[in-house]
Amino acid sequence: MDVRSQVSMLFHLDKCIGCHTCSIACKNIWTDRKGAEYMWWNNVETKPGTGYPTKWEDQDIYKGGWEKSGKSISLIGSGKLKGLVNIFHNPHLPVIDDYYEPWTYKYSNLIEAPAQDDQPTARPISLITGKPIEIKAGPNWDDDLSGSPDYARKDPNLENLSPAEQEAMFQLEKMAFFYLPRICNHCLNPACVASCPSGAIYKRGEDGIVLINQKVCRAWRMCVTACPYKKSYYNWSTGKSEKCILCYPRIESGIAPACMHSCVGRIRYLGVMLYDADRINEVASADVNNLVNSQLSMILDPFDEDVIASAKENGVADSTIKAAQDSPVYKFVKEWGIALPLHPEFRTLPMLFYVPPLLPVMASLSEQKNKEQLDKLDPIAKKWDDDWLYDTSTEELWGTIDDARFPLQYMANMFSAGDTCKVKDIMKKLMAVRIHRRDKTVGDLDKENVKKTLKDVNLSADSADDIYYLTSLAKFDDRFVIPPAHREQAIEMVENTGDVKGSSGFGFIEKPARGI
Amino acid sequence: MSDLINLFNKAKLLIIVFTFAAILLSEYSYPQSQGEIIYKRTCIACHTIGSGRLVGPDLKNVFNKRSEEWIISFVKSSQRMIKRRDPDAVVLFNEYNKSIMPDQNLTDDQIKDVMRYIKKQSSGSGQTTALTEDIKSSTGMTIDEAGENEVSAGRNLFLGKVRLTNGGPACMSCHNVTAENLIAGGLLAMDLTNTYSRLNAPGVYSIMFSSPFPIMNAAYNNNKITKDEAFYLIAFLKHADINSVNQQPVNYQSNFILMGLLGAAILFGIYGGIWWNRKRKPVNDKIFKRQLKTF
Repeated sequence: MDVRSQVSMLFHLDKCIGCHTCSIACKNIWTDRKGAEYMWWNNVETKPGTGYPTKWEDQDIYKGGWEKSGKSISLIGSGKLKGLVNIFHNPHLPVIDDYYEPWTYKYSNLIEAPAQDDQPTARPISLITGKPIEIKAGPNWDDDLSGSPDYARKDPNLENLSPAEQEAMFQLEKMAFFYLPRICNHCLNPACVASCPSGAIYKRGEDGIVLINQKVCRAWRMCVTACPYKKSYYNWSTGKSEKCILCYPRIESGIAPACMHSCVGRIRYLGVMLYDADRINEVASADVNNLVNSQLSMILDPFDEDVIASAKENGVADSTIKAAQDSPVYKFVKEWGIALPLHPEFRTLPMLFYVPPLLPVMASLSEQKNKEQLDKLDPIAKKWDDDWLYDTSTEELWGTIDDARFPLQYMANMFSAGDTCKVKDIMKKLMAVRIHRRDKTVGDLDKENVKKTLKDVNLSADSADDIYYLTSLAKFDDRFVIPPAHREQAIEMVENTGDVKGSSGFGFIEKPARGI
Repeated sequence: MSDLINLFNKAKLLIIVFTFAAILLSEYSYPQSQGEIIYKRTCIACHTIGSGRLVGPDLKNVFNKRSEEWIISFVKSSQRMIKRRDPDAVVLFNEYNKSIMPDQNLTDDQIKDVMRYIKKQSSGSGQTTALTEDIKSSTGMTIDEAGENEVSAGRNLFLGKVRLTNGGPACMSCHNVTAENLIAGGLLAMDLTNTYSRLNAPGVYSIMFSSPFPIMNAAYNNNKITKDEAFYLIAFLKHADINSVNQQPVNYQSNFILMGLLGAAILFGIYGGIWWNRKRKPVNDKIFKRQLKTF
């Protein structure tokens, strides 16, 4: 057992309102620079949709991630031999049009234009060429299902859905969507690290953050191809690739990453998880049906004596083990089992977990005779002649999940490599928590039924309350359990802090008469 | 004190006097006249004064045959005069196997200097001034006796397989000779296939040693071809000349284009094979193409 610690993330998709505050927070801090304008280390996508860069999930196009070869795995688009063949011409790279050409507006024209008959306009200016451009697309051009025929309907996750199911998803008035915020997954088996010919990318030992050494990067851009999440970006100005750094300078000083700190919906959680690094190869090469389970089994119980002992042997600090025990991510992922990694079939063992959204699944539409109600209305009132109801009733316990308006297969394609049972279990748990809370706060449900729902999903009333608390009421310190970085120890490895003891404090412009 | 100043003044005067004397003497004591220098540098390869024709005519008493203006104009550009159909120039050109006399970058005064030198030489004992010693190898072999070994040594020198002793560039860099077992040579200078019959051994020999062609002169001025090397080269050129009737004239220029096209097709074929499934266009290409453009 080789126990290592990983700073892991969890996004609760039911809570995401798609406001893009996280993206902006990240952009303002990290990527508001020349050559980085097009990068969105954090982005929020509407699902169904093609995301950013367009169709990033379709590895037939981008050749990212790992594929099974024999008993082990190999990179799809790069790696030793393929990398050598393609080293001067990487044929699967996304081009700027797959992202978008970043632009600004010529605002000065609005102020400085001479007096004329027409109003001055601020033309869009490309941030790459500096010339006026015709805006073709943006990073979230398909936000809220805009341009659905072009984008949402071409979502790679619609694979394996029958045409009828697909059609149902896009029927007006039945249509549903949710948001998928994405950052670098800081994977346990990162394809970007494996693909880099220069060895510039590394996974930090102490917290598992994946970083690109800007001094070593030689712009081969193999990581751009290899990362199946397309979260490594090439900076055309500096000639180096860049990616999400999980705001490590903030984490090291105990502050949550900017995207998480600024999250309006408080959907984001961050905490340490201990895992068994010996099993990485075995887990990454597991059978597709078993991928999620093996990945979850790799994450170790931080209360287990053996785990703690071998963690200490590996130099994991006590404070980090304590953080792992308090980790909200561990609770969601392991204790309650209501979170899944995004696209585990890419075999990178992503350490960013998602609680799948219940809302688009839960509600169903039922026929409703509204005439009686409408007749009661004032004659001048606007009358809607709809005869359907947005139904969130819980009379049929799991009925709505089974015939949800949003096919479970779609969620399964995203979060469990196509295994609908896995997603359904989680949906049921989430639903059970709702039913339990409704019983507690409103009390309009049949007690027996409520108990049965909890029992069906193996949740005690207490853990249902815990889920409710951490989902809805959690405070800052509950959501972000950041292990102390022990920078003092890191510094002591490089220099003797005793040497500079007493050398800080005030200086003197003029020496005091009595000497220093 | 005044003595010191006097001494200083005298010294100054002396220095000035000596400097002038040195300058004047250097002019006068120079062993060769300007004309002789230029003649030996540029003319001697093809012309003699009183020793008969070489590549070009004997220049003895040339000033009696032609006017000074004619000579100056011919030296500056013989071809221009031939194009202008100057009767004397055309006759001369045809008489000497249509060997082109290269244009000389000389001023009128320099040409007059050369003429003065020729006049002096013509009126003298009329002895030869050209490099027309008998062309023999160091073992005493003459060109006519040269056999397969000498020809092959010459071929190797021409090709650059064997380096010239003094480091001059291989002939092939600039010249072409059509002969068996020889790839096409450079196109920068004259094709030497039939040079031997046009210039004969002495002509070729003298051009090798003091070339009237400015670029060849520059190339070999500091890297002289040795006498033996010249011998082998001439043997090779003679051999090539004699056998040239059997050679198929090859036009490499059109072949080069064809081979280039073929090579490109093969290369692109290979590239296409390696990257047959590469990502060819942006994912959103169709959408972008459909979009309306305002400019």
